[in-house]
Amino acid sequence: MKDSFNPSIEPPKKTVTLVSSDGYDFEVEEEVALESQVIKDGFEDKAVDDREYLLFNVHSDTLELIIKYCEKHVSSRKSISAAAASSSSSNGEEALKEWDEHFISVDTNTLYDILMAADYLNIKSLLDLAIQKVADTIHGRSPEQIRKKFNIENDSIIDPWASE
Amino acid sequence: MLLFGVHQRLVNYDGLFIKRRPLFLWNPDTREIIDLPPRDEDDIEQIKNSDCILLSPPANPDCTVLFVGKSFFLWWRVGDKSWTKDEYEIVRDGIKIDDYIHKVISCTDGTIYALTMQGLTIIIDKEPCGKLLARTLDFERPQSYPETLCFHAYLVESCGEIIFVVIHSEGVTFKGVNHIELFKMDFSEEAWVIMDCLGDNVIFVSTIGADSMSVSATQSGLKGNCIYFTLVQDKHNLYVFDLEDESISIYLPCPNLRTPSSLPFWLLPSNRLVEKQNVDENTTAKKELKMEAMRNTLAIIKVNVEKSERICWIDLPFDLVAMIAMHLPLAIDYMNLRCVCKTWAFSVRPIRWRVNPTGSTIEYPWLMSSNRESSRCKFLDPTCNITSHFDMPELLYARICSSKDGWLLMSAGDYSMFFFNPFTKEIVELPDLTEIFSFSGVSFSSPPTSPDCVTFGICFRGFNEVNIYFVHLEDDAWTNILGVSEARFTPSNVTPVFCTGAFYCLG
Repeated sequence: MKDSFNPSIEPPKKTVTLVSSDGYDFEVEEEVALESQVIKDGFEDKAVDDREYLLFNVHSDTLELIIKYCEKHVSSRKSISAAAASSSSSNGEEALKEWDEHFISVDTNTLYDILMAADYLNIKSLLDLAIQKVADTIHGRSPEQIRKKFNIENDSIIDPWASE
Repeated sequence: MLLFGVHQRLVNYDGLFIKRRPLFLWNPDTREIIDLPPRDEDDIEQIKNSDCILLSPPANPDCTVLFVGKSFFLWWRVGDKSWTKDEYEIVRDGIKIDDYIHKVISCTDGTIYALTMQGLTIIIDKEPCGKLLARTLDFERPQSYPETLCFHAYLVESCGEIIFVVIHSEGVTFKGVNHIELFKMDFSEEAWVIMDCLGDNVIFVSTIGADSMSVSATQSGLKGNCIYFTLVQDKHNLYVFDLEDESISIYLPCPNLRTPSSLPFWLLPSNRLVEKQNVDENTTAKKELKMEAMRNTLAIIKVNVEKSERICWIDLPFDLVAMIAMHLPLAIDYMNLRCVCKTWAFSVRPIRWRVNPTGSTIEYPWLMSSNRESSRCKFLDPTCNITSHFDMPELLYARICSSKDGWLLMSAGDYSMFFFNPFTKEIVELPDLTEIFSFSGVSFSSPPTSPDCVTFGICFRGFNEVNIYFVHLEDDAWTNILGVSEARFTPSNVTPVFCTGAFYCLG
């Protein structure tokens, strides 16, 4: 007799461990971790039981946010494609956009951490989001206001806009 | 690194005060300044309006600033304490002729070519001792057709070719453009041959000095086969000549620019395109390094790392700053970003003077123009030079009196007035005027969608007397206050301004 295949039983979720710079372990689903292009690129070469990544540039506070972002994006993508398959109307993309906007509305210090982590882990959508947020913050501000906002010391010897 | 000199031309146009200012080289990228020794007063007088070129960047020990006067070269080499003057003569067939160098260009291979007023081709040789000599080449002069009295000429190097651009003016003034000619220096024919195509190249010519340049269209994202130029009389407009259909169009990159005291000129941060490619390679290399680091992480023993308390935006990697800059909607934001700190300024290339047409997200006014006899009106987006045409029958025979918050106050015929929103095409009628439209200024307090909108008009009645008219939206007729004389006021044709409950008029 043929082995019966029951599609309702899902295979156990594969996980990987991400270790923050301050030594905390985060166990996340494989597909969530694969949102990072850097993890994805070297993923297949690694042995299954060896899937642990020490992210020595990402602090646990930031890593928590990054994982939250990736989880949200993985689940949203699934629900959007499910809605498309059943051709039912869905405002999933707009809802995700709103979620993103809310997610990135953080203070400049957190924004810096997210930006650096997104660049380090090469998560393109998150990097774009953070970059856009910085650009929006800069937009319409004078150099002095930008310095104040981002807590940058003025090291310009010559101000090219100063009148003689 | 490209440094450009404050050209003698610029000095002359700028007038007396700057004339006495010492010359210096300035690099807008690094803000480095190199002072040049003072020149002799007589020499300054004689080299006015003449070309000035920088032969190589100041980092180069051979770097020379060269002024080409009517009978001498005045040059300074990096490190020199003073300027050196070398007299020159234009010799043709062994005989000295009464002619002088008109245009000069220094090519990437170091050769200096020049054209004289009479169209002779000159090569400026540098003797080992540094002395400069003018040598006449046996070249046929560029044959202009039809020859005009007034023209501007430029020498440009484009992909190793020396191109002579002649912009002929209308009639005997320097106003307008009649036609444009291009000649290429053809060494095999020993002649300047007419060019009718630039291919992928775009040429930028400017009236000041010798800073005309050529770039590749595919690399710069511009339309190829074009020449960008400015006119002396017209400091605001940028013109584009398309060789394909020989059309000339006006391009307004910044229509609200204040009239510059000197003529604008082109500045190309050198090696820009090369650097851009290098950046791409660097990024790839960086990513590989990062991958390598990721692979090596397992070898690192887990250590508790304290979270760095100091967040340093100043330490943001160059590529990230550059990415942020690319996401800024306005050119001014880009310039502000470069002013924040040195690291950011170095990360971001100087402005390309083009604003991404789709990047703008904020609201800003559009320049609207309409013709009373036509129902067509034009909107110009000032940030990206995109003109949109709309057909609006409502605008026929009507004139725009005032605008606010997207609404236009229009008058049609002698008595009728109405509000019109060109974007929603809504119309809000006002009662007819009791007298023929003769306002010197008319304005409204708030958009007609708001109930407390008041329309106000003022007109001059006679000696020190004005008539004032106003109407509320719900009113059936205008309220006229005639012959107001207390103010002893003669209104000007400036639109009244509404501010905190009052209309202000300028007399």
